[in-house]
Amino acid sequence: MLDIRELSVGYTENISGRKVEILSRVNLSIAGGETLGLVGESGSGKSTLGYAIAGHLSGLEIQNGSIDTKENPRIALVQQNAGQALTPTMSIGRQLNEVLKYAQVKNRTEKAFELMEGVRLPDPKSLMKRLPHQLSGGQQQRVLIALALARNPEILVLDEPTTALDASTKETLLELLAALQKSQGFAMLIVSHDLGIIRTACAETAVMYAGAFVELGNTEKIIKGGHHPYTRALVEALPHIEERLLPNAIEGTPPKPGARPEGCAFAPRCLYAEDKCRHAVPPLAPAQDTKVACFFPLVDLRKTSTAVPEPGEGKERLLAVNNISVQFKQHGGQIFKALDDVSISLNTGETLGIIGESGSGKSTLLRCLAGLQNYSAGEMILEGAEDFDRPVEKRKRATQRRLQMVFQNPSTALNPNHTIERILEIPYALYEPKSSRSERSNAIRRELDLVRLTDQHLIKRPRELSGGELQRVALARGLIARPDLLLLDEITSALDVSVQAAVLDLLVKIQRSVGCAMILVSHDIAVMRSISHKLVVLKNGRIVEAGLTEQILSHPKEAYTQSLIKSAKAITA
Amino acid sequence: MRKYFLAATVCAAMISTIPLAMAKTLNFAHDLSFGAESNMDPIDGNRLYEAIILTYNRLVRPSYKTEEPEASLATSWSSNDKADVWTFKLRDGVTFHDGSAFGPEDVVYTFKRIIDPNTKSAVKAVLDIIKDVRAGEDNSVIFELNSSHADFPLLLIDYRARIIPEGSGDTIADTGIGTGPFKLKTLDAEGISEFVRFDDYWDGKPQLDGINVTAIADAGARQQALAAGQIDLLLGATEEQQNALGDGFNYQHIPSGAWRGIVFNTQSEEFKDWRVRKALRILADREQIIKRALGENGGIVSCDDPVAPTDPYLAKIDCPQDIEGAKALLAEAGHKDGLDIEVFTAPLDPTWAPLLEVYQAQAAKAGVKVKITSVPSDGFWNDVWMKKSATTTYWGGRPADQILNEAFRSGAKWNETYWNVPEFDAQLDVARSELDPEKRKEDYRELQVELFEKGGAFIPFHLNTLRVVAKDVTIPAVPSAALRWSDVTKN
Amino acid sequence: MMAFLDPISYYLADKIYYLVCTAMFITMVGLVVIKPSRRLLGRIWRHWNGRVGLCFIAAHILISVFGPWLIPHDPYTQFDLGEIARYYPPGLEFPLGTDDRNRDFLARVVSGGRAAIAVTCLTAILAISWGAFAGIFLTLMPRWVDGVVMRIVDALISVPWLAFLLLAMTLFAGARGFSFVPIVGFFYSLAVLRVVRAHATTIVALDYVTAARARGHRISWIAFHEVLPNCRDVILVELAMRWTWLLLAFAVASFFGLMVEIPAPDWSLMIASSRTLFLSYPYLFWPPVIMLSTLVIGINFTADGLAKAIGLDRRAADMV
Repeated sequence: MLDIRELSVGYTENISGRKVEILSRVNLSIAGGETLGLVGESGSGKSTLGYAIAGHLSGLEIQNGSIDTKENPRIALVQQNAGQALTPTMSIGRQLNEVLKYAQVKNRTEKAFELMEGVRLPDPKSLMKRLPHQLSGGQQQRVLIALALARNPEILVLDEPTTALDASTKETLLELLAALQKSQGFAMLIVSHDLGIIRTACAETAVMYAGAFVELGNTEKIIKGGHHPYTRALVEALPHIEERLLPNAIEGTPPKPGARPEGCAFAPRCLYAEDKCRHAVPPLAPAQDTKVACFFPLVDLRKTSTAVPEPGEGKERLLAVNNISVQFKQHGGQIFKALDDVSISLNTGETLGIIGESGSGKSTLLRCLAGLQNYSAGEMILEGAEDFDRPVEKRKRATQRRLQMVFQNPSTALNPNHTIERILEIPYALYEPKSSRSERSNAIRRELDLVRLTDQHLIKRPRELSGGELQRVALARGLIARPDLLLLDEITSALDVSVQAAVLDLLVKIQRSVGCAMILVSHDIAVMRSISHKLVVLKNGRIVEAGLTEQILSHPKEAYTQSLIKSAKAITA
Repeated sequence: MRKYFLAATVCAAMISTIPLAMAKTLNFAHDLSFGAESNMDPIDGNRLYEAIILTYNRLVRPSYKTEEPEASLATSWSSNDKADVWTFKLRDGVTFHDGSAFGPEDVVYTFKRIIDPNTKSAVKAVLDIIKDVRAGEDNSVIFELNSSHADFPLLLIDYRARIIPEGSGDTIADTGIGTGPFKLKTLDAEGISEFVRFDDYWDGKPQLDGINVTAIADAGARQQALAAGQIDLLLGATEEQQNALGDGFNYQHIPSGAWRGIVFNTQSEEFKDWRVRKALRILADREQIIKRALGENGGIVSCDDPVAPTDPYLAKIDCPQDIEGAKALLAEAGHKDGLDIEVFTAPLDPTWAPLLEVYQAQAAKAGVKVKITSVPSDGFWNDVWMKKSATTTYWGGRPADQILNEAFRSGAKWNETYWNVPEFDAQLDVARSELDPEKRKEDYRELQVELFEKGGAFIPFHLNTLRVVAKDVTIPAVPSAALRWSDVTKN
Repeated sequence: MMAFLDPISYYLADKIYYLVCTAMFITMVGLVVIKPSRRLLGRIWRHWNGRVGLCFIAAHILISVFGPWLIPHDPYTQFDLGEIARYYPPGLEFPLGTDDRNRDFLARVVSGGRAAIAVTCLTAILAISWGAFAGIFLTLMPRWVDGVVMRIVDALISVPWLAFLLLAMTLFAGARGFSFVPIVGFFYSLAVLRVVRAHATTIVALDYVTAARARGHRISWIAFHEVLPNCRDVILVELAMRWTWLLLAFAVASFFGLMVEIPAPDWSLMIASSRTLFLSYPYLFWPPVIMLSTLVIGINFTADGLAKAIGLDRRAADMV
């Protein structure tokens, strides 16, 4: 169906005329009905490959090799971020109709209903009339798939199809794709950084690094016992859902296109690299049960993960939230309860995890604590602060200082116009207005050191840093105030697993050295298991279950918690 | 917008004038200033001026040479000793366009209609002096006046005092029936109004077969229409247009009697000293102002005299530029080191700005700094003119008695210089009732000399109207109000 | 002679004009010398309209800075040239001839943009600064304040500024030129307010603004330090764009005789008075037309190039 030979894709630099490769010499073939997963960190070229197959080169050129398909192949692409891929001002029905018109389908209305039912969208009739923003994230993703299926594709390319989806939604979406593939027989290419979904959906997997395949083979074999050091590191970076273990980070960052090292691209980060690796590029060759591009494939299986220490005894009470409720008035006067009678408590030096699907109220709870959201009932007590129940602008500076927040997406949480130095200086100057220049600079350096960044980052601006570095800066910005409580809102979900592992590791180390308490909001149970001491499960604004993390995850009492754990397990390693 | 309109009107003019050009038909344009409201009623505010001068006659008309009255529908006139009862003998054998005979009842009807209390026409203000009008013996009419007026026939020269048939007041706006040389065929104020020769005209058969009056709103478009031969004359043009049109046309510079100037409030603190006022007036080089602000032949020098150059009562005064004299007068009045004045104006009239620019440069030579302040046109007449102590002004042509009374009698509504001299007012009354023409002339002369010596109005010129005439048309070089259209020819 | 003939406002305009020109000249040199801005210039230069715009602006700056030195006559003297009282034909002494008052037309054309440039530059800066601040602050206010203010803005935006200008001219007959600055500045700022507010809304929704709020910063601090720097591109383009429209607005007002006082030279006034001359004296008609339009086109195209260079779509902005 699809045969790719020695494909190199890249661009020519404007002034120097230098050719820069993004993909280098990729070989690949898929037959109908097969599913191939492409995994790798961001910047590995996996999306570029997906787009190249779908024919969207947008500014890039094929520098070498070829993509062979049968004549006039029907290839459909499902883009990342469904919310942005749909035209916001056009109803779903019209968008479907437009694609069908282009595909020269005759009974378009009928076909549209068929497609909507095919992707198991409820009540297609009313959905057709709605605009994209009136749909949930999962529904948008399904509409996008329906649009892709409109032309009866032979090859379906899905770019990160499940980011921004909850675990249970992820699970059903992957089931749906499998069912559709079975009935229609198209080949599927799933591009993702999430090993979990690759494992669930793909029989074959290619691991990409720096624009090339480093390992290709059966998915189970790659995950259970990959032979390339990078594959192994990637798997070990995944948080563990079964055990309380801290995942391992991969040190360093992947090389950028045009700055790739001479020999094996992974060599600089590889624990096992030898001289040969730094001078010659290893070819993709069969080694045992997979194909590996490494001179020294790993054979033995060993786990290097470290256990997470429990918090010590005798901690003092820091925070108590008693029976708070938050209500919103919706369009049409209905009252929507974002939080309903929620109580939590936290001791100093502890980490509390709040888990729940989107819409469960976990972010609202954080906003209440931060003083950004008014609540209608209940009370919040922070030991030693009388004004904690007020909105943030009415709290005393000292109270404001005791509580700092870190956001999900570091690229929007840092002002793109400020240098890293300025970003760190602002909170310090706010809380220590009388501090001297040297005191400020010392504080900034101390925090940089704590999050393992160096002086040379100071003059940079956010766009010059990688996602992991940005999140460290965001952490440092929170820590420079020396808060008693750090609010962490999904801080790893926008990061690659390898970076996520590093950030989790960092959190544990920070807590040990600084001693602050943390509240971590996440939808990822594995992340919770690795670092939180206590856990609260939220659903529709109410607490379903609360207690020690180990206890809840090992012996969940409530059915909802059990189903959460089950679907998480279903799609993780 | 204007461009399209221009194009449209030119096209319209082109299409519809071609077939008629074969006959000896004269074409000229009007500027559509009253739009579709334009009509044929001579005393209506929206009268189509270019049409009513073709279809009606007055009792008396100005002579070609001066503003003196000459026989028209009246053949002779006389008054009693007090000059407050006037008898006009009417012309015999005159007929209206519809064939009905002209007689005293038509004249009585016309003037009763003008002086009727319900009439809104502005001409009433001019002819308000009439107390009663009635038919006299032997085809004559008798006017009884409220007060003596030795020059009453001059008032009847007014371009609106045109005779219409008895009882036609309600229909005249559409029919246009009069005794004039041309009769109305079709009236289309926004397009072409057609007039044909009136064969039974009392002053001899008109030379032309007909006249078409076309609406062309834009001055540039009228110029283009003339250049293209679609119209035969421009009633009013500028020197720039003359330069653009070149030698292919005849140009007539016709004294209009209209004037532009700067008025200084004689009662104001700054200008109450007559020496200051005189200095501000004699420092001007009037020839240069005309040449530089209006163009060669753009006007006739006036020595601050509101009386028109064609008026028989015009005084002969000489007023060369006198910088030293001005400086001396200013020094006497206590302004040794010069004087700062502020003159208010508006973009209402195209000659004001040029006049001020040239005057400003000339005044500087006498140590007078002139600050020019322009205000929006809308508020000028209500909020600035006669409110600020120095402003620009304009006046249309009027007979000597009328302009002197309207603009310089104390208490007059438009006494813009606040000229308040009881002797002056008294002499105005004397002159008006003086029956001896020579004495009357002397009375008026003294008034004008007094204004030049001490008055507050700086009147550097009377405007000339520039008429552009195609080479194959002959037309007397007289103001359009005096023009006898039966004399106009076209080859 | 010239100095005392200047109405006070024009004298001021003259000074400001020189400031503006000098500032523009220094900025231009600076733009070429300083590396990041040279890169920006390069990016503007890459688009054809940016190239045309920069050329026109550079030409204008050169003409207005060096022009008056090269021309022997001042724009006010009415020359006595014997027989010819006005409209002296072009020649060596007067390259563009003399105008209707026998003044050197070239001198008038060269200095005819001063009042326009000075007044509109001030107005643009005023409109932009207050429109931008109001727009940014609105997004940080409670939603009902935003709603009420925006409805008022909507209402005001439909009011023609020319009417207010006429009113002010009548009320303060002496103020003239500079009453343009606050009045037109205010009305133009409404459009700026809308554009900047629209952009700031997307900024305020971002986490770094929430983060600043959560830290406890005051609204004014957030507006200046977090939001304003990120609206800079939009504001820059707005400034350039509004300036062109203000030049046109000035030209409109000036054409009606409301702005520059005679005998001061002004392109729009020249066009107004010579529009009937364009057949008989084309050399008196075209130069001010070309000067005014190249300036407007120059700034407009540069704004276009600038917008493209920093990746903004100018179509989003609406015209008053």
